[in-house]
Amino acid sequence: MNKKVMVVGGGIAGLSAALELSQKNIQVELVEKSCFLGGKAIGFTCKATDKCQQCGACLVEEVLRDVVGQSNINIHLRTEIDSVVKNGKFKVKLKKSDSIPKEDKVLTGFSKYNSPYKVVIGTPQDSKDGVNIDELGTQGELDVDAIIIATGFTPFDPTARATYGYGTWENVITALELENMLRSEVKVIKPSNKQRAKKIGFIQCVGSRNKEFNSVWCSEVCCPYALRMASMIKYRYPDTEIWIFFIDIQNVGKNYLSFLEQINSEVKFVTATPIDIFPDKEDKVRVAYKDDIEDKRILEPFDLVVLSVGIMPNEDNKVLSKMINIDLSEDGFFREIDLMEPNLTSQEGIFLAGTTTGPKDILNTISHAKSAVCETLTYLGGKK
Amino acid sequence: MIEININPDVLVIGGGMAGIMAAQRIRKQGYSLSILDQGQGFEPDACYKMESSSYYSQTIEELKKDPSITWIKEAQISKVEGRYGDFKVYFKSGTKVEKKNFGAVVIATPYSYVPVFDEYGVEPDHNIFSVNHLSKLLSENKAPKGTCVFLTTFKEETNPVSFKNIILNAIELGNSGSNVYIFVKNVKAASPGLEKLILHAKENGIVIIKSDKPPQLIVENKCPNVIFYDPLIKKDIQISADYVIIEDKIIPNEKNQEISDLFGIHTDSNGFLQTNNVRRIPVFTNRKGIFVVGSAAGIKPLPYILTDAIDASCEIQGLIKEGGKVEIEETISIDQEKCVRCLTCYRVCPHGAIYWDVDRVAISSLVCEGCGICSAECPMNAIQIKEYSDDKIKGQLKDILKSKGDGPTIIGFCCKNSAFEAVKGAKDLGVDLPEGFKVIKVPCAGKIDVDYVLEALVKGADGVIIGACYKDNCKSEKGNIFASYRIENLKKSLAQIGINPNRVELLHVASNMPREFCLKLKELTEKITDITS
Ligand SMILES: Cc1cc2nc3c(=O)[nH]c(=O)nc-3n(C[C@H](O)[C@H](O)[C@H](O)COP(=O)(O)OP(=O)(O)OC[C@H]3O[C@@H](n4cnc5c(N)ncnc54)[C@H](O)[C@@H]3O)c2cc1C
Ligand code: SF4
Ligand code: SF4
Ligand code: SF4
Ligand code: SF4
Repeated sequence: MNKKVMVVGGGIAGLSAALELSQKNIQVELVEKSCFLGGKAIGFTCKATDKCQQCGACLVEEVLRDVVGQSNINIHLRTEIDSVVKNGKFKVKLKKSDSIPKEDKVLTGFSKYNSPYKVVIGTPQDSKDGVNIDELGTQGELDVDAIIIATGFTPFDPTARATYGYGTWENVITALELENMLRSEVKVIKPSNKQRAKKIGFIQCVGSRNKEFNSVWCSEVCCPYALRMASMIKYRYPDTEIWIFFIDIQNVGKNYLSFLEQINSEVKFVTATPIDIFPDKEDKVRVAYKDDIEDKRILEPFDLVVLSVGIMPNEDNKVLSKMINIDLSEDGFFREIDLMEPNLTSQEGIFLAGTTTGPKDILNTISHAKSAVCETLTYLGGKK
Repeated sequence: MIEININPDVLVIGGGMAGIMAAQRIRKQGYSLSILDQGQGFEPDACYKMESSSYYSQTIEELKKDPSITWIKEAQISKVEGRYGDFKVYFKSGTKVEKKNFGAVVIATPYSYVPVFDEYGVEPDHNIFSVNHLSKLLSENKAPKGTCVFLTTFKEETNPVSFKNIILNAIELGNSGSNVYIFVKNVKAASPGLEKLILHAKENGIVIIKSDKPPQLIVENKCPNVIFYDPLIKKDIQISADYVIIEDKIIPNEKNQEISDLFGIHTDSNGFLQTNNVRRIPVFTNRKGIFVVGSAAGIKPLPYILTDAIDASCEIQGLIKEGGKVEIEETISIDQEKCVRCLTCYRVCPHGAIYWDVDRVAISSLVCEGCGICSAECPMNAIQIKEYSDDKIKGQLKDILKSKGDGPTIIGFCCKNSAFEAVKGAKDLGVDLPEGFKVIKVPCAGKIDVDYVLEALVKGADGVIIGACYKDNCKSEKGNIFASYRIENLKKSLAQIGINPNRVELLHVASNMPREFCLKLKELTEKITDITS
């Protein structure tokens, strides 16, 4: 098939779609806004204890490796789509992205591993085998036969929950930051003194399941990632004390029964939504919550508080949706045309993959991306 | 080159939601197929009935008109032979046995259910029944009216699929004028749209009561009373119910074990037909050409039954294309002169690639995943994988040990799916690997023959490290387990002949953790250096 497909977004959804297409001998134009491929998930830690906990993070690494090795995938880093015109095919105008998303800074350490795409900001010593950031970005027009939208999600910004002090208190971090820390440092560090954090509090549902924030959905991934990280930390550093503040615990993995049983013996679960977080004089952060049963306010000290931020619609969705003329759901995610058509949109030839349609873990994202490719191939086959 | 015939027909097992969706998608790709129902009948799974029975009936009507579909009703599979490209399946119905050939098989067995009456110490009655029974009443417009209490399973905790079904049933009861209560330990909201649905239910007066312990159910004069402790007011509260409706716990289809045995498919510990291994995502099994969809693989919200169905159809398209003859390279071979027909290889192959061919043991290169478990286990060294032959690996060893430096030399036999990638990552990241650490790539830790390790030690290596995937992460399911028991045994023998067994170690790692691998490696290298210096 002598066809060309554009994949917008190079997270695990876009990567899986690109790889699948390329294996079916379709030329792929992969457009990624940031300087790196892999999206959020490339920065995740392995969560294995004495056995794999099925978090899926290693798959991202492997798919990325395979994509970079394919000759029929053109990768456009630091590039966005500027306009789309449909006339049988799609004429897509590309532009250099002027925003350098936040996570690039976080992921600088992994950027080199995304070889051969080594990106250099400024002129560090090893610039000889890196690409300068200013050189990245594609401008111009491309004709493609179909488009897959895989632009992913935006993690909830916890500064919106002002009383949690994220951004103000050093020792309050997001789970995304914890993922990145564990992957690069292999242990949990208290930012204020760079020592190992020995008492950690996770706060669940930050930003999710919340009418006030207009986010009436469960992000589905945060119970699994938090509990798996907790279990892994306990396995490697058994002297760590871990508390989890939650509303409802969701099932984790296929063997959730035995997993929940085990994790119950390892960490302390508290049914409460903390009210307030602030530091004390001993360089601890205090989590203030109401104990409903005792009916009193408790101030529990921690070395580190981790906010289990949820999956929110990508900030770009509004602009993108106008550009490609596809409605968003009332929640702000891209909407499938029908519950029974998980990848189709109101525009023939444009397909959806991954968290762009709503919360999904890595494994569900991969299977969603594969089905998007399947639908794309059916569309291309029918068009001939 | 070997020529192999690919049969373009597909078998779908199961006539529930997953089976029908898979069938529809596979037909869309143009393959003719047979759909087998093993006695459950063609019906949507009870847990999805409320959600989409109309979609199901529409689809099945559409499929019934399709002349390229054969419906096999109430038959059992009695025997399966062959492999991807040409499965021979024997169907038994009554005393009749019929053989059919398929290029690929899709397993889509529906769920089974157990209502958890036991958990509450009650027997079903006219006013105590299961959720599935309630759905049936509702579909017949026989909605019970009054105070209705739903009890979910507390022992095992419910799941988003069952919970969504309960909420949908509850909303309908509420709409017909009943007072509805739902007892649950944790509200399971992790499914597309479910949190909204729960909110909608609450706004419509349905009361969801969360509690750590299950409420008590006491039946007096045939009237069920539900008693629970309210921690806020520190008192027991009693609800006199007109109806108590009990969750149907979803369990794997009771035929799954039989199918697993017939097709040589590994199950997870629950009995679903896909192991709990991320490398099987989305629809793969340990055998090429056999796919699992939806309810056969695990408990999944409806949208993922669909993506599974689509994915399976796409995989089939990739595998059997137009059917007909395909040519493949021979990647693995058995030296028939050496082979003593002990069948060890046949027993250990996780991918069903080894079979008995008239009077000798044969391997299908089409199906072989190249893990090398068989070649390491063969007592006669009769099996060679072309890319990783004994000669090649021993040659690499020789080359490495020829140019030995001053410091200790440590050979790392690294699985290409995990440790080898981690080492590559470490190099790209610029993380220092211990100096004398030399890598030899293997297709799976299961390929590592004890011979290789011994040869390395004999020829002058100071230590040997085997880099394997974590348990439950092996592409070949058991390669890392074979490796670990071989190393355990080897250590014992080493100790007996006076070689410090700690010179050989096994390390588990994931491909995305180069730094972690380096840290562990350093620790071990230091230990080995201490031993040998
Ligand atoms: C803290 C945290 C921890 C998690 N841990 C786990 C876990 O352990 N296991 C698990 O299974 N899941 C986990 N998840 C969920 C996981 O992150 C998602 O399943 C996964 O990242 C989804 O991939 P995606 O490709 O859909 O989206 P993303 O990862 O968001 O990727 C989208 C890509 O598109 C690019 N992009 C965005 N907008 C544009 C645009 N306009 N033009 C071009 N490109 C664009 C982005 O730069 C990005 O590279 C976690 C989530 C969070 C928040
Ligand atoms: S825990 Fe996650 S990253 Fe680690 S091996 Fe398992 S799936 Fe891979
Ligand atoms: S997965 Fe857990 S933490 Fe995340 S939104 Fe759902 S209930 Fe809250
Ligand atoms: S294990 Fe070796 S000797 Fe035994 S049957 Fe297989 S090839 Fe022959
Ligand atoms: S190499 Fe692995 S898959 Fe191939 S025949 Fe041997 S055991 Fe089976």
